[in-house]
Amino acid sequence: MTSAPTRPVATRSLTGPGLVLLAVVALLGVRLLSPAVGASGLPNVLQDFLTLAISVVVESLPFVVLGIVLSIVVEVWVPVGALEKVLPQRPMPRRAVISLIGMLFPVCECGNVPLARGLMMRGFTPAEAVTFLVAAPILNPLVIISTAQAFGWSGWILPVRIVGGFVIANLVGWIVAAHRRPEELLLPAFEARCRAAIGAPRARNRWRESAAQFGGETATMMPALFVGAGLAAAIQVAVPRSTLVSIGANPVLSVLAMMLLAMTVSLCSNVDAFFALSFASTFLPGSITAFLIIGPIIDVKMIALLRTTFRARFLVLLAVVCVLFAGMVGLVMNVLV
Amino acid sequence: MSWSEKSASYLGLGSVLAVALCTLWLALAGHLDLYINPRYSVFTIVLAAVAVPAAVAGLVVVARGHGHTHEDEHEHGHEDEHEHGPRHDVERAGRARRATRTVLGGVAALVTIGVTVAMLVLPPTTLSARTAQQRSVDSATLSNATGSQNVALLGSTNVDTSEYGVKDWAALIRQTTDTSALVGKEVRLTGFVVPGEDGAFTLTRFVISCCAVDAQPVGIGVVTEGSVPDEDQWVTVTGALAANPDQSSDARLVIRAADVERIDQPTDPYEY
Repeated sequence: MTSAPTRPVATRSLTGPGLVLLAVVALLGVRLLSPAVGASGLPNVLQDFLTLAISVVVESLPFVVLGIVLSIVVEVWVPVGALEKVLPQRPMPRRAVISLIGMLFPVCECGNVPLARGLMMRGFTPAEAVTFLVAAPILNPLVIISTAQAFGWSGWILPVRIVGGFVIANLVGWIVAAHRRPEELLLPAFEARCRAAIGAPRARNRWRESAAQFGGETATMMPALFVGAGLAAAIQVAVPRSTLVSIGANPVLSVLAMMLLAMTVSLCSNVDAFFALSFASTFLPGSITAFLIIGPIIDVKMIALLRTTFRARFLVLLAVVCVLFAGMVGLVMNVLV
Repeated sequence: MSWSEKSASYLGLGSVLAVALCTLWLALAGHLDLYINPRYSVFTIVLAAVAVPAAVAGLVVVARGHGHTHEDEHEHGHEDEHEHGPRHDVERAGRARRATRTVLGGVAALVTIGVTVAMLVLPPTTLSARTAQQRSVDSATLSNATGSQNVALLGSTNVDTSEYGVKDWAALIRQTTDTSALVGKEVRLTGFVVPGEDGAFTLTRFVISCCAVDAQPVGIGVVTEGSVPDEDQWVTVTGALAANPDQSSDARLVIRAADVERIDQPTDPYEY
């Protein structure tokens, strides 16, 4: 799909984007003409649902865009072999280094999905891409800084989060690598696209290729993002948070409650530390750490985004491994610290 | 590219464009803080500004037929390779799977369009008292982000509390062990009303650490001689801290209101 079909550019082919632009401009016009803020007369439940869903979209979109831009850079602009040359050849150390690449990218979990897709289309194995996907949202400069701002460099929460993120990423990567056929964990269509992309000649017009890539990735990611945001908002509206929060003092139950909270709130990993901080007075440190480890890896928004690329069986595997790991870390911390 | 492949790209690019433009408008109008913490405004605005030309370029390239094949369209075939069994069963399973995928894709497209249109057409607004109640205003979950040394110093009356918001006072009231140091303190606070029982309500604000999804309500009980304002009404309460007449409550202090003034919603309804 890199070379242009010979079909002439008819005016008809511009009606599609024309209609899209027209719709966006018309809606923006409504926005500019109607009052800036205020009640719309909708029932509170529906209004709150929309406010929450929109806030997730507004918060996540920059990261998704950044992730897509970086994945385009990785796929279209970085010369063939440049990335591969600096990586170790043996699988285990190679994955260990890949899990640290996240340190270079200030992208949280939603941006890492397109980035991991870009890596696989470049020829990385699923195990390597998954290692990156799990590690990068935790081992990333912004996340480390914001966690340090929230909890300080002293104390156990920050080091356990960093080390825990590194360990779980390599654990998941190792499990995927040990899988009989790792590519079976990918959606067949995406796997086919990777097979087609690897080894294909690079596009001559890189700018056009980049724009095409942007279109293709947004077509896949945006509906998933909206569905994830809708799910997160619906859960927030439907399930009273007080029931989760009321069990903060029990060392076992509080770990479970915080993990459940992390999976339903679907916060961006760049900022979840500040949210977790507001629970620091009632929840034990182990429970907070479990929240900070599980949140960036698996939550309802991430499940929707990951489904663009992976089969359900991988999501089950990822969820089980991560919940067990984060739960264990949290319990050990609650007992020891 | 087929029509459905193109429409998937149009949906993705159109929603990016719409959300990015709306984000920029919100920033210009000063209402971006209704959705996210101002700490992330600059980052959000910069990436929204990147997204607009990228989406337009994507639209043009897709329209001219240079776009990438969208993945969902040619999925069958590969998936069936691993299936063993009577041929028609495989076909039927494949058809059912494709049907499910079409329905799911349709739902996703509807959600995308619905939320995008709602974002552009409905005026942005704050979360309601319903959500505040559901997230338990009265639970003592919010730790004090302003620093606990203030509590110790309060007895000396030198501390300037005029800048304290609902969050600061609520945290202070929860933390302090010696409530007598605080009784009689004059306060003037603004928030919205979450109704309580007979002559009491909770003066509430949402605290946002990242975006509205994590909004955490904080509140201080208010006892008033006058009528309790309606739910969700914004008020400025002037009064003095007093011991909570309700002994069973966790919060041992409430505001005994001298005056409850009904006001319009302030431009910065959230605390951070």
